[in-house]
Amino acid sequence: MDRPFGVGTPEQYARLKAANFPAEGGPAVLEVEVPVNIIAVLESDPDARDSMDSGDTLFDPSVGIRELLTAWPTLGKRIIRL
Amino acid sequence: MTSSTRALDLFLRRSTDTNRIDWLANQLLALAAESQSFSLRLGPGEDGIAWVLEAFDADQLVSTREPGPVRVFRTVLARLAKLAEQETGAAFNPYGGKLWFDRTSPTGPARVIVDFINAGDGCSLTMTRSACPGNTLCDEGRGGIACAPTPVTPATPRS
Repeated sequence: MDRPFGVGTPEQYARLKAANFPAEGGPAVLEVEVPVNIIAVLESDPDARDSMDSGDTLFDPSVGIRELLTAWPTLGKRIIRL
Repeated sequence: MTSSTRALDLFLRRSTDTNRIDWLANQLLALAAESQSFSLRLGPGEDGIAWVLEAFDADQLVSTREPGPVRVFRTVLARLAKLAEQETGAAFNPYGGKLWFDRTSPTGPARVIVDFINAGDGCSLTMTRSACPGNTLCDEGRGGIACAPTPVTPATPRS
């Protein structure tokens, strides 16, 4: 997403997670292409939008997770090993 | 107005700043710089379902179940971790740690000690104004935290 990583980069989170789970193959980032209509669901919620503005894109049961799960099988995904 | 009430009020208010998370993180640090100590805690409420954000200091405990504050609290914690990385060179860890920030307060320079846990089953944040803010003794410890904060004891009554 074209927003700043104000809460850390995906690479930083991947490395921290990998350190917690050392037997799971090392750090990797799952890059997902989320359609604009699903991002628009988050954009329409002021709190979700505020978090996104800092780089935290949060889908949860109250905002966006239903739409994301419905589209999930068709979304483009790429695993980036670090 | 106690520091706990003011802290919770920050989360309930919608800032006009372009970045609310940055605004919240810096407003909390500014509040801590002029207060003794306050804490915030996010976790399941008494019903075990809805999450509650509580703010407390030595005098008062206040809480909210408003979804907005509950949603952004963890983002604010991660933002504080990132700010500390940028300002003091602390190792970035959004899941918890002990950080420090130098800020100015109405009474002069202040060092704010930040203790936080950011986990899926519960989160907490304590901000304490250091006992020796901004003086050379503190500055000698710039790789770490020179001044030990006084832990806050939560007030018991709920409101």
